[in-house]
Amino acid sequence: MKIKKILIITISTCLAIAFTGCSKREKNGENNSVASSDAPKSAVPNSFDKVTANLDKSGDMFIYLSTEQIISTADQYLNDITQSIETTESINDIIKAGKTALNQSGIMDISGIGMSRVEIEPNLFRQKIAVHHEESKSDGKIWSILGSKEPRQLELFKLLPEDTVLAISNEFNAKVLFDWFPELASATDNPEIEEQVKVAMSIASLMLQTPASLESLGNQFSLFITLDKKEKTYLPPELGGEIPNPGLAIAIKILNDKVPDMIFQALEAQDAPMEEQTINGTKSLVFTEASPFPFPVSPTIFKLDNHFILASSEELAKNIISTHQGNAPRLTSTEEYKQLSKGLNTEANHMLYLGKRFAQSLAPAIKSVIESAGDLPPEIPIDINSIPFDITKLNPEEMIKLRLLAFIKNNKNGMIIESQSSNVN
Amino acid sequence: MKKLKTTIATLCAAGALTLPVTPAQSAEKTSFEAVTAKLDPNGHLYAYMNTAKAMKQLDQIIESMLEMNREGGENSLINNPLFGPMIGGLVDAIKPAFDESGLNQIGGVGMSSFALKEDLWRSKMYAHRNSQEREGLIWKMLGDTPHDLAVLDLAPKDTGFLAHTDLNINALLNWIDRISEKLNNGQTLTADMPTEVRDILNSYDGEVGFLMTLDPNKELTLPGFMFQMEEDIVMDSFSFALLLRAKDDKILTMMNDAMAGGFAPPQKTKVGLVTLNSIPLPMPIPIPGLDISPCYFQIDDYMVLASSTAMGKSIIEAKNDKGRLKDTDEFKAVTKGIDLKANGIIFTSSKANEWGMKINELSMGQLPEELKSTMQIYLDYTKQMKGMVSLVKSEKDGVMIETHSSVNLFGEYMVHTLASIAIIVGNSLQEFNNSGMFEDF
Repeated sequence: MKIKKILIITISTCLAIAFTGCSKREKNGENNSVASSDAPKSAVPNSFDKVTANLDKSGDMFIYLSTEQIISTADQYLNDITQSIETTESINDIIKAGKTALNQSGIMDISGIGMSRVEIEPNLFRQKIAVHHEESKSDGKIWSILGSKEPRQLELFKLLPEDTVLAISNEFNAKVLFDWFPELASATDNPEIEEQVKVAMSIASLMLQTPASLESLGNQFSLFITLDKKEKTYLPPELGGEIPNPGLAIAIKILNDKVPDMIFQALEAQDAPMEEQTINGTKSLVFTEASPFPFPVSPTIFKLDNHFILASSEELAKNIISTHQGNAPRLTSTEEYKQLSKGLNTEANHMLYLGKRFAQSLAPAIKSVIESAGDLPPEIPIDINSIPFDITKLNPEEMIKLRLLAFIKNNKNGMIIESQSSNVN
Repeated sequence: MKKLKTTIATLCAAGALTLPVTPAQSAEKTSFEAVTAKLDPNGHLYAYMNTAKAMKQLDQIIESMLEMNREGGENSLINNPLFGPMIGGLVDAIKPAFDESGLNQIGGVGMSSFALKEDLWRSKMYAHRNSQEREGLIWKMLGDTPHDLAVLDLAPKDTGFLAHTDLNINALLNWIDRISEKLNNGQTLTADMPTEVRDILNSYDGEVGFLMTLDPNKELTLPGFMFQMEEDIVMDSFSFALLLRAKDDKILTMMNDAMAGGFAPPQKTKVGLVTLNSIPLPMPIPIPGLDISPCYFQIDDYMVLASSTAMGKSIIEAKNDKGRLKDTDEFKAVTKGIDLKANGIIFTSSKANEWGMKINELSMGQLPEELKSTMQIYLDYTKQMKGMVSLVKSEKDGVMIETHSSVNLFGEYMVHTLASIAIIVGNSLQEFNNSGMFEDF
């Protein structure tokens, strides 16, 4: 019995250590590296291990390129050309600011890039792009402007209704960009430009209450488009006949009510035609002017948790609020999203989603336009008949039948773009 | 017992929770392993591309484009009464040219660049063949297995540039014939080939090359005014030779016969066991230091046509183990660690680089002042470059090009080269613009 006990403990301990060990190696990326430990190392150091650890091997494409030599050599030429060419003073100022922007951006610190592509199951591809810089060189402006140094769960997913066909979410630190302008202006050594930027900053401060308004933002800006699964808009036959009712929403993450209050006050001051309504328990402002479009448009503004949202219609606002409350299915519950996100870690700083219904719904309209291309108005300077093949045989649905889910993840060593898609050939 | 169970469960759960996300595995087997096994990991460039699908798609694209062209409207070129038959023939030839090129058998390509030492880099480019059969032009044209490069026994020690390769001309002609059949209603190109050409082809033994030597003891002077420069250009004098491997002495006999009927018969000189035939020129070349005294001879299996008799003699001496390129320190250093068995070789010495730079400097005289310092960056960089050797190897599963150089060809060298091209092209366009040639457009 004692031997059995020891045996079981030993086996289970070994298993646990093995699993934990695997996990650690994978986290560091060594497990996925193409280089074997006994392969000779380069006599000139590079970022091969660090970049390739983030890529998938055995697929259709695998590329690593050390960029240090390339960037420093290109910089040598760029410096010489900008110094030797004779320009006007204003162009010279632009060049100086451009050079400062380039030097401070962090682009010059990129030490390697990598790309991989694997068909993980029939017609489902995983693409990865890794951009690497040393951790000690992570103070480039571009890395700060494009978000924090760590990926996070995107709260936007709680807002996306199941009929979302396109969603874009970006982490963007407007405050860093705003603070950078005076630095770039002073790099020109031109007091006039410095003064102009100073004035512009003062005007922005007065009208937009910067930098307080920028500091109140959560630095996540999102946009998404929905296509209603039931309701349709009927269009003239030359425009494809019918399309599902479209909806558009913009969501800005906020830390407090500063920006919403500013917008509400501005709308009030403009005497905008809108009324306050409570939609599913959420106070909203709905524009009451009749829609000039054949589909419902009644812009609705509301606040949902830490998001300030503008929806193109009251119906979409209802849908978003219900989705957020968990009373309506989310995009993440759809089969298409589940398939596209299979095996992906969805923690990220930026996101792009494109569903198949986007192309499917737009294709008939594009096809109709192509088919009627021969009857283009004379103002459009294209002679369809001069194209050496039959343009009407093009099938836009096939051409843009693309499904894509992409995440951009920042880290202390750069960024990784990870995406899964179908029909990207 | 309960405690033991809990311990096991906890440990297993901990292990399971820490299980990594599985690295993506390809649903379909690719040539990744086969290609990357030939490359150097850990270097500054490491690239693999599965081309099997791309080639299939290229095939489909060609097919659909041909289809679209055939069905094109009345404005389609194929329906033009003047150009239609010619375009139609070309269109019909594209598909078989592609099919029989062997390109569709490329299953994957790879590249790598690796620093063996700070000043010795190994670059590899590999094209993997999916099929074991060497079907298609590109696989047959470059020869079979890598072999000892006999041409290295002929290259003199002052060789600046050598380009020599296996070349299966019959494979190339067969490929052209199959295309010309399509274009000319069954008529092949080789059908009307003169007997002399057939004889040469029958004697040809599958290798051709070009060799250039630089003589550091002899200077060539080019007048500076020709290149808008104040001073004359002084550079090492050069000679060059064409090499061809022959099965027999039929080509030599044909040349002797042809020369005998010329204005003056060649002067025959015995150098060791080889008879060197010097071709007399009607007048001397008016460039000081340039030795043009053509000669031809056959040495073992190689037929040589050299631009100077001195060079011809140095080739014969090299064959007799005297003053060979392969015994020089530079060649030994640049080929260190590389298997010299190959189907083709390109070698450039550091002297040839300097020489090439002199040629580049000729264009400096025409550059505007503001671009001169930029071009100087390129010239300074290339001055520090040493020799370079590339070997082409036709292997069992594909073709490998392996290069040794003193710089990273896919790093700074690439940028310097692109920059110099951009400067020269940009300046040429500016010159054209200044000349007023564009004004008519």
